[in-house]
Amino acid sequence: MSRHRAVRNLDIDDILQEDDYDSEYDEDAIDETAISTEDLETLEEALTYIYSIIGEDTILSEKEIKETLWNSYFDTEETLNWALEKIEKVKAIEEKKKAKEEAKKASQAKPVSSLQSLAQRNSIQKTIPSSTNSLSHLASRTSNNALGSLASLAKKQPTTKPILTHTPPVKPPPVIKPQVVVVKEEKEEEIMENALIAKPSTAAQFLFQDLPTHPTSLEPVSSKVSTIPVFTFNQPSPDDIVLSAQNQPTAEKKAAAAAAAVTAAAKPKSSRKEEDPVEFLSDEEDLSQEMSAMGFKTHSEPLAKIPSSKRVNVLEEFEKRSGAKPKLNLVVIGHVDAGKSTLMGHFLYALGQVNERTMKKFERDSQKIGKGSFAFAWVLDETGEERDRGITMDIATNHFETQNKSFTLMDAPGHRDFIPNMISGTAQADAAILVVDASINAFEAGFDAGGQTKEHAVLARSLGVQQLIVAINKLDTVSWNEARFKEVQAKLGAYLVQVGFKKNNVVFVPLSGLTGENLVKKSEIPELTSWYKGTCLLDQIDKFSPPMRLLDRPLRMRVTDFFKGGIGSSGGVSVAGNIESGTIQVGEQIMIVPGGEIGYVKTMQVNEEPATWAAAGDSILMTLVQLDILNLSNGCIVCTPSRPVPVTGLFEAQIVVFDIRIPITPGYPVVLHHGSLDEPAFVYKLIEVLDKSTGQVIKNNPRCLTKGMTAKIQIKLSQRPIPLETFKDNKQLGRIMLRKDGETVAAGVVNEILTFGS
Amino acid sequence: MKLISKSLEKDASGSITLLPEELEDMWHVYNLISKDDLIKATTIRRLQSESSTGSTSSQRVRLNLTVTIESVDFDPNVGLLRINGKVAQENQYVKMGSYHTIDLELNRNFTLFKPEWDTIALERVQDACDITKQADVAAIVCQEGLANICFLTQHMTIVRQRIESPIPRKRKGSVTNHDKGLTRFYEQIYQGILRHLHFDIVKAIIIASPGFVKDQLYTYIFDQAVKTDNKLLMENRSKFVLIHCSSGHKHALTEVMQDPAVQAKLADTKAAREVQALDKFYEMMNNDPDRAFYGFDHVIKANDRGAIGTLMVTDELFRSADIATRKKYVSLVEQVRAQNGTVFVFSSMHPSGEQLNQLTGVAAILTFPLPDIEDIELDE
Repeated sequence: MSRHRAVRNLDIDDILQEDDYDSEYDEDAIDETAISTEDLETLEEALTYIYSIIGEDTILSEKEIKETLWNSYFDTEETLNWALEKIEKVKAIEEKKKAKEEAKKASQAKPVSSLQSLAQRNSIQKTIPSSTNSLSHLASRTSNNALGSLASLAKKQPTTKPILTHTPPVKPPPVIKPQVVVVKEEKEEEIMENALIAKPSTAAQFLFQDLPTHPTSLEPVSSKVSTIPVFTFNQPSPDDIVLSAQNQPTAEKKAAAAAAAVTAAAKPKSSRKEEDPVEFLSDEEDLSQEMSAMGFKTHSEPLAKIPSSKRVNVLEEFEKRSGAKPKLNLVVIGHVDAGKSTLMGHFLYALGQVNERTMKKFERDSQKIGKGSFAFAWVLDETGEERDRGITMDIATNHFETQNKSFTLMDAPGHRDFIPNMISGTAQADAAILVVDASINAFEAGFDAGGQTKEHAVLARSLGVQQLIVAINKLDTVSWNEARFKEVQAKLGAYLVQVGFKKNNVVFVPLSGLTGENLVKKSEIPELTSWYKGTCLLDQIDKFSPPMRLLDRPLRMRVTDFFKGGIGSSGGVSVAGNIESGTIQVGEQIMIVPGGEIGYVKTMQVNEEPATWAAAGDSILMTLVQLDILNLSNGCIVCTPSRPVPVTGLFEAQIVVFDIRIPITPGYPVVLHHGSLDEPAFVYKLIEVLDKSTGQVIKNNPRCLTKGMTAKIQIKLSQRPIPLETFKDNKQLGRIMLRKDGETVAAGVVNEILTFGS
Repeated sequence: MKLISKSLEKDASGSITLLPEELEDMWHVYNLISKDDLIKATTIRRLQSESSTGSTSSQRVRLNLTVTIESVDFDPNVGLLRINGKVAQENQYVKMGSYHTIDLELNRNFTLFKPEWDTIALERVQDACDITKQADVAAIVCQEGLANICFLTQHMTIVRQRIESPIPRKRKGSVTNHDKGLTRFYEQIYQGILRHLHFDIVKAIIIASPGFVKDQLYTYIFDQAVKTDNKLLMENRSKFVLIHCSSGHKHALTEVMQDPAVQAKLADTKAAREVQALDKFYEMMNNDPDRAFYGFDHVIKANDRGAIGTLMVTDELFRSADIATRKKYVSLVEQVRAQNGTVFVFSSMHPSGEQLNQLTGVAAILTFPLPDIEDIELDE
């Protein structure tokens, strides 16, 4: 059951895209993906041209052609070649299918062992070169005969190895980024090879392809082939022995290899070519096995203190729940005094999350200390210090629901001194609202050097936030001036695209947090409605698409907060945080890393409501027992004892250097931010500088890294090791930020963990 | 440190007698001593004697011993220096060639014999004996939940106490946990200050933090002082300086030292100048990478062409057990000086020195660009 889901949940597009880290940070990537109008025109032109040649009623979809055009930089000739080739290939495959069916009938009538049929084919091959001179004749005969036997062979094999599939692997996702292009092309090549191998025998293919260009080589080759003694297949061929030892998975491969036994000496290159697709397939197989193993794993993990009857199938429950309202974590970021807390405070009030009486009290009290305009901010800024100073200092968490979704809202501090807190909040977020102050000079102050608007945007992107609403706040102070809105939108939009947000994932909403205009319902102020046709903030928030959760991975939860005493004045330790991957339920055994202390989950709250289980993406508060609070620290990770998080003091990371004043050299001291954890560390070694778009090495052992570079480096923790995972294993736990002197100098992902333990 | 006597031969061999007076002096001695030097100091040795019946008795004797140094251990936190080596002069209790470990003590003379007193070593002696340069500053760098109580002297930054106290976050509807956590955290710092600071020595107390932690801490300290009627703290109120820094980690001290308010308090600004020099190096690397080099191979090539304007080396390189390495760096320093270059010998006990240590320990800012140095390295 779970295995099926694990495979179904595996979104290959997503994995390919997300893991493609380089291009994610590529500043130019957007320019390449976003199609300009000129490009579109060229594209249409080229498309009509191609259709005019291959005919409208082709098997190729318009999308496929466009994609190829795009990849070949609008080279119509190249695309045409590709299209013709493709059509031929498809036809060939169809023919093959037909042949297969025929062969099926034949084999049913008279069962032939695969080896026999191979031997048969072999003898046919052997006779061909000597018996015929016409190449075309040769080709047609070989393909017909070999095809039949091969297909029958192929048909027989799958019964013994059910995992194998003959259909080519799922078509790679639509290409967006240049790096993916390479991968895709390679794959397609391999698929093509696959189709080819099964059709004519290798020998035939070799002869058919190579001979026309080298007519002189016909004699030696054919003579060589014919001198090889006929292998009768009454004993395993040498290749068979090797192959069976290697446990080769595909029937195609076996056939090809057997054929290669004849031609290997004459043509080693072709046999190597055939090897590739097999490897590719076996990778797929491994992956699926691994996935199923993981899905299986979640159920075989040691559960303590839960009778099996009471055990919750979290995956099933999760499915039920997400059917109702998917959960998202939303963070509000922006420059100090942009009005984040006021905006969200007012938003929550308008949604009815804050009762009338409390609000009145806030209004009265804030007026008393002469900060009347901060009343709404007080909903989120609860400490005395925050209220007195009128700034948010730490993340405030809140919950609300929209029509279709349920949200955990985190209000981040904007002041530069509290960026560590902001990082800790944003690390948990799936989507963000970037609040900017539109009033004159205020936007500029926040946007230009020294302002936090840019830094927050970059951090959010580097922490994996992909969807963004830009709330252009305080527009009432400029009397809902459209020109101002457009100006801010243009400036900010360009920057956001530059740091890696996709244009269609960024939405601009004009509003006013203080007056509450355009928050939960569409504004009716004529100054605004005259030019703004979009939706209000609430509707826009509702449109956020829920991300894929890593449910089938081992449990990982970053502790952002912990304190003595359980929920509801019970004993134990309370731990709060956001589950990054996996699932957890009451009664389960968990491990705290670093330290390796093991405890049990006693009670649990999800969104301040009691729950018995939680899954990735939930922000929870739980009571742990049989655990000493001294073993907890900020930034420690709760995980399953069976698959703990590695702890490391030295690791390799790939980083993107931001706009920095001084270059990064070995020994460069930084503060490493990893979720809510900040630890002193230093750059241990600069390994290589990489090209941003292609990922190729530009320079080995560079002396220093300057702004804008992408590089591989080694980072060493100065004081103590921290729990960390590679980006490959866990996207959230594999992201790091490097800061120095109050500025973010670089962001990156963990490539490899070099030392384990302390 | 006091210089008691000094007798050097023409070939720079000879002996110097010194009197260490404070903890930092031990650091100087640690940097002076190298392998195969002779040290003569008073020490305690346990003597075991076996009587004719076979029973053993042991007694402790204080005696003057001369030892050929083999290894040195230094603990910066308590200023303990242990010198291990073979006894070089026989006396009635100890035979030649037997091993002994001397614990160097404060306020007792010792004599150091070196086969060669190079310029670096002599400078070190001079530096250590200059009392005008002495100034002790205490610094508390903190952020919410983390504080480091440090001492800054001319040559050392010593973390006396690292306080880590988890502070629960504010939760919806309840901030009591948060406030309690904060109070507990400030109380720990307050106790740390009382325990570690000697207000008669310390000339200034810096509280540095991002955000408002420093202000809150300052208020807390004096609230407590008033409550407990702590006269000492009240009298020294003027010594407190509040400074902004970016984090509560130790290396934020480099930021602190750059602050003009701190520089005014520091009698000697060597540490601050080192930080500036390193900053300048990084800036140069950014603006004109052909004029900033690090690593011995690159620097020595620049030196061969007389291009070095500012040379930065850490004292760790001169502590090297390998005499040849030490000589290599000493001659580099001397050559740069001869060419009118500025030389900074960074103390590896400062954050800036630690950073330079990681950067191979030697770096140089050139007076004119030498673009081909980097290429030479690539060819090899």
